[in-house]
Amino acid sequence: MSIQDLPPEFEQLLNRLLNSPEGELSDSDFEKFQSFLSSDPQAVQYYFEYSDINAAIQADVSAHLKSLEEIAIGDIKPEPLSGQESQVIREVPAKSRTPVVNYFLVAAASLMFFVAMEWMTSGDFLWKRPSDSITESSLTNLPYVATLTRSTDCVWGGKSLPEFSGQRLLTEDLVLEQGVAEFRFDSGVRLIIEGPTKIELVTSCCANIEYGTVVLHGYEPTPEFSLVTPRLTFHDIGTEYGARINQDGEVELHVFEGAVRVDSHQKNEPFAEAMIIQAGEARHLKQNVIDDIPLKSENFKREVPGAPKKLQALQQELLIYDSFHPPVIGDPERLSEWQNSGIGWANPWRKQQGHSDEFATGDSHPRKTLARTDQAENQLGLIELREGNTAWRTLEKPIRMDTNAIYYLSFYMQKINSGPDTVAEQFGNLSLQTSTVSAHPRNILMGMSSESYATLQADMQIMEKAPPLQTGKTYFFVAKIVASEKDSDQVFLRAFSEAEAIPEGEPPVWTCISTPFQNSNVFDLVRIQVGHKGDFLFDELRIGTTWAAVVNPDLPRLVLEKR
Amino acid sequence: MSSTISLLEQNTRGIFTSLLSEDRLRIFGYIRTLVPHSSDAEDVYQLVCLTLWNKFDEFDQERSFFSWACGIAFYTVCNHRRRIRKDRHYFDQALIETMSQKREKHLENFNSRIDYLHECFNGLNQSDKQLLQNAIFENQSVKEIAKAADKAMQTLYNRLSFLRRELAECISRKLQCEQQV
Repeated sequence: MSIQDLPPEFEQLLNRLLNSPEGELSDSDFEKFQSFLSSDPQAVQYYFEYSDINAAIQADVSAHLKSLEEIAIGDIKPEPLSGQESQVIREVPAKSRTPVVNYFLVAAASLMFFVAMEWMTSGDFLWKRPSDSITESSLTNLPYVATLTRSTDCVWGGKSLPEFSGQRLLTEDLVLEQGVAEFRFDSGVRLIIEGPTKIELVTSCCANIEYGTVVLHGYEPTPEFSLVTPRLTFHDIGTEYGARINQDGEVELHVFEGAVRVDSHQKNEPFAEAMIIQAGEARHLKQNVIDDIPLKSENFKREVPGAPKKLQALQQELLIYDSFHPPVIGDPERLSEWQNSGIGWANPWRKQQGHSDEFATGDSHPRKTLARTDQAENQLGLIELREGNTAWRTLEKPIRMDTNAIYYLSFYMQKINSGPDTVAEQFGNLSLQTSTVSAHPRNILMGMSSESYATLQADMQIMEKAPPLQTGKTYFFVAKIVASEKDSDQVFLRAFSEAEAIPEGEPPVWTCISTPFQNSNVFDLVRIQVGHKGDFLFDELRIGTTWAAVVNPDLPRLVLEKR
Repeated sequence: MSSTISLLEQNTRGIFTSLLSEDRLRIFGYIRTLVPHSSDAEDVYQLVCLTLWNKFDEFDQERSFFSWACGIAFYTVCNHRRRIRKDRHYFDQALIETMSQKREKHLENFNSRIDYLHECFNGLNQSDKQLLQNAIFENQSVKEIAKAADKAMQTLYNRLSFLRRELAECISRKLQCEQQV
C-alpha cells in the first residue's frame, strides 16, 4: 500500500504540516488532518514515517536535544554505555561541539531570536524604544489565573507574597507557611489551602501541589480541574474533595461530593489504570499501595473561617460615597443643588474638567432613589443627566494604577428614554479620568453603549456584552480594578439586574473582563457622561477597597450618621 | 561516607545519561508525533527529561528505559495538552491515546529505519538532496529557496512531497527485504 492509496488531501495536509513545524495549518485543515488520523490507521502509519524522515534530516537534532536536556536537568555529564548513538543524516559531526558550547549557542540563538522578534514586532529595539510616560503597552509574561478571595491568619513564605484579598494571582509558586487561604481560579474552581502548603498556580484549570493540605470545590461549568501532586493527578468530577500531600509524595484523599479521577504519573501497579474515587470514600495512596481509610471531613478546613466584617471595620474601606442627596430641596425640586453632596471628594460636580467652578447641570430627584434597599432620609436623591450632560468631580485620594492595590466601584444606573428611531448618541457611562494632559488618554469607563450593551473600556480595550440592557430597568454596576506596580492591571465589570441578588463576596461570573494591560495612570477625576440623545438616572456612587465596602447596603447610612 | 554517596550519585547520573543518550531520538520522536507544534514538543521533551531524572530512582532497570520514558511522556503530553489546547492545535485526547500506543510499537525498529533512510537519502540526486537539506536540514523557508533557485514555490512544495514519498517507499522496500532475509 502506498500513501497515494489514501485521499490526496491527506498527503497534502501532511506535507503542509511538515513544511510548517510551528503548526501553521488553519483550524479547519487541522481538523481535517486529525479526522484522517482518527479514521484510518494507515494514515497514522504514514504520519509516523514522514515525521521520522523529517526529524532525521534536520540539522544536529541529537545535539539540539542534548542541549535541551542540559537546560532542563542541569549539568549531567554524558557517559555513553555503548558509545553509539542513533545515526542521523548530517554533514556536521555530532560531537563537534561540547555541551557547554551548545548551551551558549542555544542561548545566543535565543537572544538573537528575541532581538529579531523585538525588531519585527515593535519596529525598534528594546534599548531604543521611545518611552511612554503614560502606559506600557507590553503585557506581562506571566498570566493571571486566579484571585485570592479570602485569607485568615496567613503567613506567606517564598518569593510571592499575596498581600490582600481580591489580589490577582499570577502563574507562580506560593508558599503558605500557616493560616488558611482561598483562591478562586478564573475557571470558577475554588481551592482552600491550609499552611504549610506549597502550590504552583499553573493555569485556571491546573495547579501543582508539592506538599500541603487542600480542599477543592469544583465548579459545574468547568470541564475538569487538574491538581497535580508529585506522583498523582486528581481530576475533579463535580467534586468537593480534601487532600493531604506529604513531602514524600504520599497522599490522603477524602471525597466529600461527586467523584475524583486519579491518574498516576507512572503506570506501575496498582496505578496501571486511572481510578475513580466516589463521594464518601477516602484512600491513602502510597507509592505501590492503596489503602481504604475512613472519611474524615473534620480533618480539613472546607471553608475559610471567619465572620463577615463588622460595619465599623468596613468604614475604613469606603473611600468615596455620593448619594446625590441635596442638603436642601429646591423649588422646583429638579433644581435642588445635588453637586456638593457625598464624602471623599475634593470639590463639587462641575461642568468641565478644568478649573471652572461652574456646577454640572442635571436634574435632581431629591425624594427618589434607584437603590434596591430602604434608604435613610439623608440618602434619598438621584440625578438625571440627558442631552450631552457631563459632570466632573475630583477625588480627594486618587486611584493609583502605579501601585499594588484593588479598588471597587459601584453605582446604580437606569436608561429612561430610548429616543425615537436612532441608536446613536444614546450612551451613558461613568469613567475614571486623569487630569494629566495626554495625547492618548487611557481611561477606565463603564456603563451602557448607545445600543444599550453593557460596556467596559480599559486601556485601549472596548468590551460590550449582549444582550442589551433594558430601558426603564435599573442596573447595579460593580467594577473591580486591579492595579499592580510591576505586573499587569485588569478590570472586571458586573451589571446586576433588579432580579439578581447581590452576593456578599465577589461573584464567579462577570459581565465584562478586560485582558491584562499595563497602565501607570493616576486617576484623580470621575466623569459621568450622557450622549446627546441619551437620558439616564444615576445614584449611589461608591469607591472602596473591598467588595463589601461598595455593595453592603447598610454601610452608607452608618458613614453618613457618623458625619 | 560523603565520598561514597558522591560516587553513587555519579554512577547513577552516568547510567541515566547513557540510557537517555541511547533513546533520546526515539523519546523525542514519540513526543513529536503527539504534539503537532514543534516548540511545544521541545518544551514537553524538557519536562519529560526532568521527570525521568527526578524519578530515576523508581525506575526498574530490568525494564525497558524507552517504555518507561514513553509512559511518563504520555502523561506529560496529556497534561501539556490540557494546559494549552485552547491556544494551539492539539490532537484530541482519544487520538493521542490511540497514537501513543501505536507509536511506541512503531519506534521499536527506529534505528533500522534511520539507517535505511541514510542509504535512501544518499541514493537521491544532488539537487534533490540539496532541496531537502535546505528545506529541512537548514530550515530555510521554501519561499527563500524558490527565490534563490528562481522556481515557483508550488513546484518546490510538489518536489518535497514527492521526495518524502520516495524516501518512505525506499525505506519500506528495504524493511521488507530485511524481513524476507
